[in-house]
Amino acid sequence: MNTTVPGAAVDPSEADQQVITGVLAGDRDAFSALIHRYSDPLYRHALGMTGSPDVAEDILQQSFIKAYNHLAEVRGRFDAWLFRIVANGCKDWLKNIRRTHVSYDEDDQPSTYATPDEDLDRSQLRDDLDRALLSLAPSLREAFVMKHVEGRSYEEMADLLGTTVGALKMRVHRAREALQALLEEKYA
Amino acid sequence: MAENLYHPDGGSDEGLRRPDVGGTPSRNTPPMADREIPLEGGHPALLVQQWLDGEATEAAARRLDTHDVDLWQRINAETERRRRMVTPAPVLDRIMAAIPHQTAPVEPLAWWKRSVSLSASAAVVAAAGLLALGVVVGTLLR
Repeated sequence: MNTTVPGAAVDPSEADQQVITGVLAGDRDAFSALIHRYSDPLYRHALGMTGSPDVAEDILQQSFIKAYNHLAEVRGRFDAWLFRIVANGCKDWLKNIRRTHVSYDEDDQPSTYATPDEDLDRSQLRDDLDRALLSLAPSLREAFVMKHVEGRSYEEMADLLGTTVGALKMRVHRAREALQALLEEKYA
Repeated sequence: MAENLYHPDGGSDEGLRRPDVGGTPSRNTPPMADREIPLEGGHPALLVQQWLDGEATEAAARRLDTHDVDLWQRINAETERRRRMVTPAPVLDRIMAAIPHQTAPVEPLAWWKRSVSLSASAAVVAAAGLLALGVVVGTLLR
């Protein structure tokens, strides 16, 4: 029974724990609350890391199934635990894929921009940003996606990734340097 | 459990780890991405980095380099668009349909962690048994 007072602030961790208790007691459908609560930021993370909506959806699905099967092992914050499952799923996928290395030097796509002052085509920038992100080392891509796409603070990132704010700042700075070096050839 | 869900760098295939930027690090050196080498005046400049981290104003960054700021404004517009993306609704349904129909496995507790419940009569019997055992042992040791 839900005893929450309407309008009262509920600690998200406590709310998660209530759902988990219900699921472990046999209420499978209660798990959908956790899926709806956390799917969007996790989908954005998987999409940013893999660059493929199909792969991101598969990783998300596998991660939620894994979370369901290991739900009794949650210690501490469920959202952080779930994030690590998704992040590890992305890293495993990146390790296993035989990706063709994208080199901007080999890009023979003609530029559609006649002059530097011409407005840039947004869809072109999207494609170029995707390819530039995929050329980054996974740790740099992860840091950039978490900071710029997911809009997380360095402190939150450090909490989720189990590293220091200084190390993450360095990764984000290096990711920006690499992205700018790749993109400014075309957009400067 | 076959996999380590808490592993910070993926649950398996450690040997297949891709080299980080700048080549494969030795065992004793931290990942290249984490080494705190001072930023050179390259791309983007330190003030632009500070602006992107919210530690400096756009005007200050723009005074240093208009091109970098313009480029990052375009990139930021794209990343902000991506920040608004949501999981396609059919995917949510598909995930829920793929969740096993049996109850989520409950972690088996080790015997020393399990709680013990005794009725009053069972406790009296257990105490009497222990007392009798103590008497027998004491008698034998005399």
